[in-house]
Amino acid sequence: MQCKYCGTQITKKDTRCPQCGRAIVRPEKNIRPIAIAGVVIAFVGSAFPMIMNSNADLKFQPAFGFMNYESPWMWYSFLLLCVLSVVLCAVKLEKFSIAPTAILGVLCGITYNNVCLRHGAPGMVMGLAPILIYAGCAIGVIGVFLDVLKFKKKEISTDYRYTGHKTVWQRIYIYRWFYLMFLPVLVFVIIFNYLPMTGLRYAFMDFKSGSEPSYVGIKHFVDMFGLSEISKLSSKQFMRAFGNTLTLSVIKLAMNTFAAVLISLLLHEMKNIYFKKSVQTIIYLPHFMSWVVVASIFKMALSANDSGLVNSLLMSLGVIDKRIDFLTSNNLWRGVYYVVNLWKDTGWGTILFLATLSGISPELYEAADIDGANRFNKMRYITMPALANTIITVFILNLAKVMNLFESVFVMYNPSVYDTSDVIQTYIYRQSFASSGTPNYGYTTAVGLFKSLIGCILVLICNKASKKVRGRGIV
Amino acid sequence: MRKMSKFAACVLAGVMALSLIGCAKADGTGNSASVSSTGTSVSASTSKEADPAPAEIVKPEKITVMWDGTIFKEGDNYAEEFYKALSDALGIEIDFIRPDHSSYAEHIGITFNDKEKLPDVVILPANYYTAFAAQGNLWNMTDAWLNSETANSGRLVDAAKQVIDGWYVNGPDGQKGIYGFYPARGNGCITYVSAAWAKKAGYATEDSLPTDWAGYQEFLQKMKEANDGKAPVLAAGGLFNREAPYTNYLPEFWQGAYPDFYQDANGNWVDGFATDDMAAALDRIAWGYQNGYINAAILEGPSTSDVRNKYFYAGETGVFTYWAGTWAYNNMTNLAKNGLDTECWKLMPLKEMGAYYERMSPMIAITSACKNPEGVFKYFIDTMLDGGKVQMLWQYGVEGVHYEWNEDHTKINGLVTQSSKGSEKESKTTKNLFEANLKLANFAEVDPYTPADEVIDISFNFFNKYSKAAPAPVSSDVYNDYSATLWTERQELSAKVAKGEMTGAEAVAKYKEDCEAISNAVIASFK
Repeated sequence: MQCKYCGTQITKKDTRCPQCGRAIVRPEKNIRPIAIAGVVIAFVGSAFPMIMNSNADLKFQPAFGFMNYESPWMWYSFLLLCVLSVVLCAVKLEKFSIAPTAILGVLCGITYNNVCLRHGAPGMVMGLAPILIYAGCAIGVIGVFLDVLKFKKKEISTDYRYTGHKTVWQRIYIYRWFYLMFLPVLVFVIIFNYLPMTGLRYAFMDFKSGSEPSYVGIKHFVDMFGLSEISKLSSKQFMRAFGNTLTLSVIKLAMNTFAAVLISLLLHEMKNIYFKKSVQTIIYLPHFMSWVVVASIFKMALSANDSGLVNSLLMSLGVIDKRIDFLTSNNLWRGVYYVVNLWKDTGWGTILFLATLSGISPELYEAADIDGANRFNKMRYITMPALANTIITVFILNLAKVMNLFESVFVMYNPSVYDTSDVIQTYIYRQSFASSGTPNYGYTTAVGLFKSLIGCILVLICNKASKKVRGRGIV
Repeated sequence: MRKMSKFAACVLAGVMALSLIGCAKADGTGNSASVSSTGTSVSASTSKEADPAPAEIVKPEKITVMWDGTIFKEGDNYAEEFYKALSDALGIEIDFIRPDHSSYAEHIGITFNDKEKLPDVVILPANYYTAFAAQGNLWNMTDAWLNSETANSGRLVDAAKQVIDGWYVNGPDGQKGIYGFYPARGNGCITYVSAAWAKKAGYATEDSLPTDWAGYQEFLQKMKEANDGKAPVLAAGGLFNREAPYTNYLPEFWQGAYPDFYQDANGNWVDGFATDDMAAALDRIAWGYQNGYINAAILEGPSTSDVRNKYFYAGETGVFTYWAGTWAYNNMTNLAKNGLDTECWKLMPLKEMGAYYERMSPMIAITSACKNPEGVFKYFIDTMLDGGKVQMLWQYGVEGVHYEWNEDHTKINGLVTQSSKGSEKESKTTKNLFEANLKLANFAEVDPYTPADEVIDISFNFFNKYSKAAPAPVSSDVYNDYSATLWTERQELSAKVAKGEMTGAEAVAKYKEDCEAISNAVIASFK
């Protein structure tokens, strides 16, 4: 947020502008997100079945919903109305969004009624769709009413320099060249980031290579969470991969950040500039090597066979009399993985910290010298406090990426260590391409959707944490 | 300044728009390169509409063909010359799509996601052939084959009937039919023993090699002791091969055990991993691994090429199970390149094994998207074994490019390959798609085949004598849903047994406990 008088960046903790000293008036939260959240819930709900078999061992099959409803235009209309509602909320015409939101409920009712008439049979029960859609519609409409009534709401102050009293269209015209610059990016993002999201519908379908996608409701989620007898093993493997992903990512992140900070501090203390630069260059280099090459190097070094360097060395020195299974032991694999990651990425991770350290005023150190502080005390009372904000920022930014673990594991793991190494992305890969049958993209899409959901939640948590720490979010 | 900003905005917008266009030019089939035999870009479908009268078979003008690395590769051995010669010989413009061989199965999976953009002809791994035939993605060529010139030519080899019987798989109607073709047998692996290693261990001749499991155990012990304690065995790809028949790279240890579903002698479906044979096989592997007779790298996920080049060809291992035929010759030449003794002996299948497995070959199929399947079959597929010039192209390549005739025009000699030309060790072309020894039909005249070395023929003859058909790959909806899950469990349990964390019997019991529901459902789906 900026000071509305002088434009100075202000943090969340500030009560007065550090530049002009004026009191900062913070606007109350706008409550439109409630209306939008309601529509999103209805939108997501439309992917679930309207009615489905009640037998979990049959994976709630058959299932019928919008996606396999005989009149597909009904679902398309539903989705369009969802988009319309959100857009109306976004452009502050929220009261007009009540109508499309209400129509969503009507469409749901009509479809549910027809689906029941056509496919209703003993053993069939109501699915999640009607519940989610009606709940979403209710939240959407209530949210709008709260907004229209301006309950707790105040207009968000906007910087006068950027808005004046002009309309949106006038502002767009004024900044048309910026919009022109932005246009290709927008198209790019829509084509490559948003359009592929339409593929998420396959999480509710059987989509095997060579056969037409067919709607199966929550079948894949039943497999993922082991709700039927036949899916216990799939679920066990999935949950293990999920746990490993979190464990490997978080520990790796903590270790890499700690090591990067440590090395940054050591480099910062170095007086010989040539030596310092040389060390920096050497520790940056592994970052530019591909994971395939890095894995090959470490596999050669750590292999338990006769050509493994480390084992051979330890054996010849008499340290061990039996070769150590660095790469095939569940007890050791994670340690090896962390070490390889440290070797590859620690150097690169020091860049931000070194940049922060170089920004610390030398006067502080000079003052500390005068006060008689030793090196440790200078590090404790000057360097570390200056670095703290960067450490937290880097940690938070990387925490948002913890679910994206693939290449580094894929090139190093093997069936002996699936227990400790298999992560969600490698699990998805195996389900897609390592089976001896044709892959079912529906299941892997469902797993991917779950992973994205967790990733999204982590990003939101990090965003919140970032706002707390830095005064501004990361998204 | 304002003008500069506008100008900068326009330029930047233009650059980004161009980059978008660049990205949008990606081929619909992923990363695959699409090269027309005539050098022009062509569409993915035949230009001829299907003829309404089935009796009149129209020659297609243009077809698209998706092929793996089993024919000459672009940049490796004058593939473009082969495309052009084949196109000229058939009078059909052929658009070859050549994805990377190592990820071909992935490309197949992706390609068949969009049925509108399927090529007319595609070569499929055996398991995909079974699955896609059942899904109705392939054209039923049973009648076309039975009435084809090749089938009625009288030139089919003796083994052809048995091979062709294996092509019958379930179609979408549940009826057995032929949905693919391959002009050769599937081939298989035999075990090569380094003579240098064996001689050191006291085995003077090939005949003295062991013939049963007890003898094999003693043989491995002696091989290890005599060769500085090095583990003599390492299998390509790890404990299991990723493709059917799965156990063919470590046959002495797996013996009669087969880790996937198959039909037993009584026609009953069996989950091979849940059998006593499997428990015994796992114990044999544990014995080999823990005593250092199987190289420890086997559990570290070695690639096939690493096992071949960095271990067997480097003299690090002495027992290597790999493809029969041309690879017997390749083994010799590669050992020679490394200055090692080139002599490799063939290990007789152990008494407990009975025979080596002959795999089901990959299948050349016409897809459901092909608008003129009868024409494509008659003019593209049936000509592969025409006994004349088209068979020469598929079997040996292009005259003057891949081979040349001898003076009296009775035999051919391979020419130096494109990639090895000018290198220190030039290698010569030995075949195109299939080996002379494996072809299903003879030439109308005498086959002009000249083996690069007699070991190739010896190896083939040995394999033909001591091989049996591997269980056919299976497919069903339930199997496809849980195949990856089952294989993950099988691989994990096998590795645990190898490391000594459990016994074979315990692994099988655990497998039954974890996988019984899936196994039963899969078997029910086969029934």
